[in-house]
Amino acid sequence: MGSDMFLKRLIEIQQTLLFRLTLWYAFSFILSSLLAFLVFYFSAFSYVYGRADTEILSEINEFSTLFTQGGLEEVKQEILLENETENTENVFIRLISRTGSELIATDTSSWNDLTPDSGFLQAVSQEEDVLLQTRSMGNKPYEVRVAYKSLEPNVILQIGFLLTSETLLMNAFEKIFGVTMIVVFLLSGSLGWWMARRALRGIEEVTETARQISGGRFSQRVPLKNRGTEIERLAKVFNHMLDQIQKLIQELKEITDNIAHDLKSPITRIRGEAEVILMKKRSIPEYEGMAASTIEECDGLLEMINSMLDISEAEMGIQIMDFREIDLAGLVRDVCDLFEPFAEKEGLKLILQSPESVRLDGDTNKLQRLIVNLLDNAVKYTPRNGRITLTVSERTDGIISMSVSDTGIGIAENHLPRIFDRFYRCDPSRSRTSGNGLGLCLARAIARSHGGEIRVRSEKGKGSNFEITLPQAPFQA
Amino acid sequence: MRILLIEDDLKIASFILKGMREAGFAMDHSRDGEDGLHMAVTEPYDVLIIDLMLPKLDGLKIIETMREKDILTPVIILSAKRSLDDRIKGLQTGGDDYLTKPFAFSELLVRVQALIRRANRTSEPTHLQVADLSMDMMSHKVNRGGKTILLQPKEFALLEFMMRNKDKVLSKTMIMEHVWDYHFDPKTNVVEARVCRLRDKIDKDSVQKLIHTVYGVGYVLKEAD
Repeated sequence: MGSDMFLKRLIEIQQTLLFRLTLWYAFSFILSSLLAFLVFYFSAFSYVYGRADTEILSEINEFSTLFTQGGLEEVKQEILLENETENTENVFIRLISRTGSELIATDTSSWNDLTPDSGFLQAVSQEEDVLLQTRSMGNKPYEVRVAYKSLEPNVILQIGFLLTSETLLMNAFEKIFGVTMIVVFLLSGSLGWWMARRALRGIEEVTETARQISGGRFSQRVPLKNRGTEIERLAKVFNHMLDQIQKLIQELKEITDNIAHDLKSPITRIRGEAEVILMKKRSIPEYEGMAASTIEECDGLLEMINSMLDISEAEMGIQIMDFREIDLAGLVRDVCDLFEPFAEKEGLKLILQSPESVRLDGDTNKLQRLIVNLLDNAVKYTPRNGRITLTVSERTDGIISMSVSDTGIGIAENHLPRIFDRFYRCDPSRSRTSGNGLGLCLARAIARSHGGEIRVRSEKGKGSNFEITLPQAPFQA
Repeated sequence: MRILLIEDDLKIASFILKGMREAGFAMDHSRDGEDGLHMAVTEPYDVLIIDLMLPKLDGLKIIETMREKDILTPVIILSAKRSLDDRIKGLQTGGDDYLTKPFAFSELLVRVQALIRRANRTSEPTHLQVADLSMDMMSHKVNRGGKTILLQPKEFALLEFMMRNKDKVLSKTMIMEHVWDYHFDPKTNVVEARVCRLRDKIDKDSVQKLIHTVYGVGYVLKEAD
């Protein structure tokens, strides 16, 4: 159980951005330090060992010169002489045959294994050059630099230098390096962690704000410090998104309140009427009246629900609509024809100004609804002897303009900005005659779902003008 | 004519059964999908009225199984889902008509009768007669008591719809849908203005009134009370 939890926590830590950033930082820091060290190490190495080679080569040269001037005997003399001057623990000089047997040598008592490399013996007897080799030899604690030079076909000069100071130097160097690397590792790790943490602090703040909002504090925002960083931009966008969401929630809340209110009124009426009817025996016409009024109320409720659904459908966009090429002029003509008897009865003059046909990509049913909703309002708010004018025209820029204007009671200026809102009614009493407050909202949703827009101009007491602009082919690429 | 109703909501079933029986149909009722399917495949019916959301077996599955067994009884689907997709799915599965809840009972009645007519291949009559009002579909002539009445195209269509469904109460919604093909109700009472004008032309000069208003419900064309 315990180790499982630990393992899980470990995996969690491994997956954090902080951990990864720290790791990357430490890794790249160590890698570059290592690279720098290696370059330095190899330069130092070649310099130190180069110096040893120079020394050993000058010794070889000295003996070669002696050999050319005085022959083998002179060389032997010199070796014996060297025996006294040189530190024989660190240096040996000797002459050997091609098979490796010793001819003469300095004091080699401290060297317990001087067996020459047979491959080198072979090689050196066939050429003029000096051959150099680094090898460990028997009891010696450090490596030995050994040089071979053939003096005569069967006499080879062999000189060995114990690389004491060189090896000690490089060893010290390696030790220093090891310690430095550990320090670098710890330093880069903590520095990386600190830097990553600093960079990610903004994200932590965003996370913390989001957590608080999930906990119900919807007004919480990420504090901005104007550092202009990417994180700051994230915070700004995040705050903006929160503002939008809060606005939406507010709207939704209002809509829900409105629905609740608008459902309660008709339900109160239906219930009240039925209750009163049942309080005593009534005549058949009274029962009939109640049933009829119930149907009417239910139709009103249904109409409201359907309008709500239509609005959200239209707001969702075109995917659920039935777009095809239609004749808008014909469609408006049909709507006028539908309203004409009613207008005549109410003493209203209905005027249509439209070309013979206007082609448009759209959803017939939805556009019918749009025009009918505007006409519904026009006939409702225009008194007897008034005039309602519908126009359809095709502009040169591929936009179709359609308008419904009346000589009715008009809309007060303070209502104008909100008349397209859901459930907005200029008459605050929400009486039954004022409609459900969804007609214009639906009209706008339909216009927008066709890529168009609806605008209103109105003057109190003089009349209103609703203008809809629709692109002829709204969704062509 | 015998009709099977498969509907689990008892209150909805009760008004449909009552209304249809009063309209002269023999009605059977099943409350769940399995039972309903069994009845639909074993008994001969003229029309099936099937709700989509049913216990045990859903409506679409019933229609699918029935059609697989080559039972071609016309089906009206009742559904609370009103989207175009659901409608299309219902009709593709083998439903013949699709009615969204809530619906007007008279709408259901009109559709059931239309399905029966279609299934029996009785061609629509070309001559309609109610009392002394007659309509000739071929010549587009209407006359009442021998006197020709001139009607505008939509008035003609409205009268035709009312005559074909005589004695049935037709709601505003039904008239908007069947005559104008508008699938919503304008708030303005445009239908009433239409019917008034039609009534002026048909009934004004006659003692016997044919077009009647049923308050709160709609209009009916019938000979006498």
